[in-house]
Amino acid sequence: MAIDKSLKDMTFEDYCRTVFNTKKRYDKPEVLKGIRAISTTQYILGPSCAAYLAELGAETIKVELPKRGEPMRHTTPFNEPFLYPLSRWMPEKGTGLGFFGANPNEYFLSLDFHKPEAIQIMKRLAAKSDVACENYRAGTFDRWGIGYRQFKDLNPRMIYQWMGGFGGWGPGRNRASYDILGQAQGGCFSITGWHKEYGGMPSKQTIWIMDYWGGAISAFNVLACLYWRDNVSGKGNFLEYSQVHGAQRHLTDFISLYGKTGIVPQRFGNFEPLLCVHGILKCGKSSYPNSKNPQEQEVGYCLVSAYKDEDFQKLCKMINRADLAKKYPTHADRVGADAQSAIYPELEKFAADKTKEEFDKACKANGILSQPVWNSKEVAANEHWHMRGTLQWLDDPTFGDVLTQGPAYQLSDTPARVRWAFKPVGADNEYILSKLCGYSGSKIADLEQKEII
Amino acid sequence: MPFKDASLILQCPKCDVINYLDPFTFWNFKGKVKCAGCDVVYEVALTNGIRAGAPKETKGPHDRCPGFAQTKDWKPITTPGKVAAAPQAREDFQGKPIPISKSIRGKVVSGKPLTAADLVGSVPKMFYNGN
Ligand SMILES: [Zn+2]
Repeated sequence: MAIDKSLKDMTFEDYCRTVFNTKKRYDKPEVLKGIRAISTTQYILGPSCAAYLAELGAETIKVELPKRGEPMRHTTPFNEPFLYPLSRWMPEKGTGLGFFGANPNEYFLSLDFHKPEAIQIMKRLAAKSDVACENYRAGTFDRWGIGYRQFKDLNPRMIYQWMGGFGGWGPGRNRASYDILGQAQGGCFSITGWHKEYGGMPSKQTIWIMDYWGGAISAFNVLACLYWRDNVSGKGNFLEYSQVHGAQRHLTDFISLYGKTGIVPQRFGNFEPLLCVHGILKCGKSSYPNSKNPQEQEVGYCLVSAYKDEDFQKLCKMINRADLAKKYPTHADRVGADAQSAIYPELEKFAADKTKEEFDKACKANGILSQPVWNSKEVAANEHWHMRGTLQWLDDPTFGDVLTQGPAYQLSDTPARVRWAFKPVGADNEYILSKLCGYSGSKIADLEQKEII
Repeated sequence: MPFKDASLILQCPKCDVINYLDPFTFWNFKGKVKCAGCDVVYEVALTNGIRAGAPKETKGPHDRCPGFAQTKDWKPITTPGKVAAAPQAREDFQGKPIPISKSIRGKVVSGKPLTAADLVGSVPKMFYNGN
């Protein structure tokens, strides 16, 4: 296709603005259109894998227990915010916001795997699908007769992604995993949190970062297998993703540091063992002192990065402590634990009578890299992200006006998109069972009557 | 270090009640804390979670209550006014579903319990009908 002359002559910024125009996102084709995935997943790890495929346009069918759905629907911050209905059978119950973000664009089918008819339905779906995502305990679906070994006979082109905690084999395989367990066993928590002078506690990341990362890596593996199937071999594949192994995969230099020197990396709180100054400072004042929300009344924090010698000099001048720049002139002088422990408190003294915005402004005026630590309110208000479509108000067909994340990446001709946040349990039973299994309305009503769906 | 000298614990010398100075509130703190057992007020100072010295008895009013307290035989004290309320994300926190029908920008959202009659299939009628 010839490039439009006007596109050719544009600045790069205008070119990006035009080809990635998020207002036209819904008018363009989807890159995984024609791929069908079954998602028998729960919590976040498995669902996020399926959701990434669905955002790219795969027809993704989430299969859950009838009426109640998967456990994540019943999880919400402090048991407060819910979207209603949970299912058509339980309109008075809602789905917790913990379910948000891991299940967009999916079709929702309910099936009770304990009933033989449900197993037959799963086999019919498998015969017509390209991908299956699953994160029950290792071997559960195999035992039920709907695992990869059985599906492979029905559909040798199927790519089956199992996700779990510790792998399908080996002595540790039988435990169920959660993000928190994966991070604890994978070594992540041991390096996040406070230095011993500050109490020494390891700290967890509040978001389920190892679930979402594992989901992304799993979706990435699925795409690689689709390539291999469609361009090389014609065959499906059985994939295993273990959360513990995923957690340790991103430990950067810490494993090799141990291997080379025997050093067990320590926590360093909001400082950085490799660079100084490069951390988060406590500012003494709240940005919203009169807010009724206690979360907003807390004092602010601001990131500052000035590890190059000349930047450190500027920073010292800014806080009227040129003597510190003399005492620690080179990065090697500053990066040691004792030096860092001496430098950061002086910076916090300067920040003690300032809000995070005031501290940030002072840094910027002196040519120093800084960024106030934003909360969800400030992230949600950020125009840049709304403009680029990574945050959006979605007019959801079932739940109305909801604020949600969109895909964090752009594809010019085949953009990913959020079509709906999620749906109630079993919302697409008729659509999926009639389209893929050829069932009549009365047959579907009968399945519902027998509590199979 | 004896238990009663541990940094974030104030064991009252008068009544032996153990007052826990929760790290969220007391990590860096200088001021007056009221014992949850006998209401005696103590002057306390902590820097980065480390106690500056032994608590000194003083006169009220107090600045803060401990986050949590126990008697010497491990009975919790939870009476409001004796211990501080747990830090909450919102003023009207209830710990149970709070029905809403509008998003924070004032548009319709399905955030309250419905009846079967409120539904068309799985979709609330108000959305099906375009309100
Ligand atoms: Zn007392």
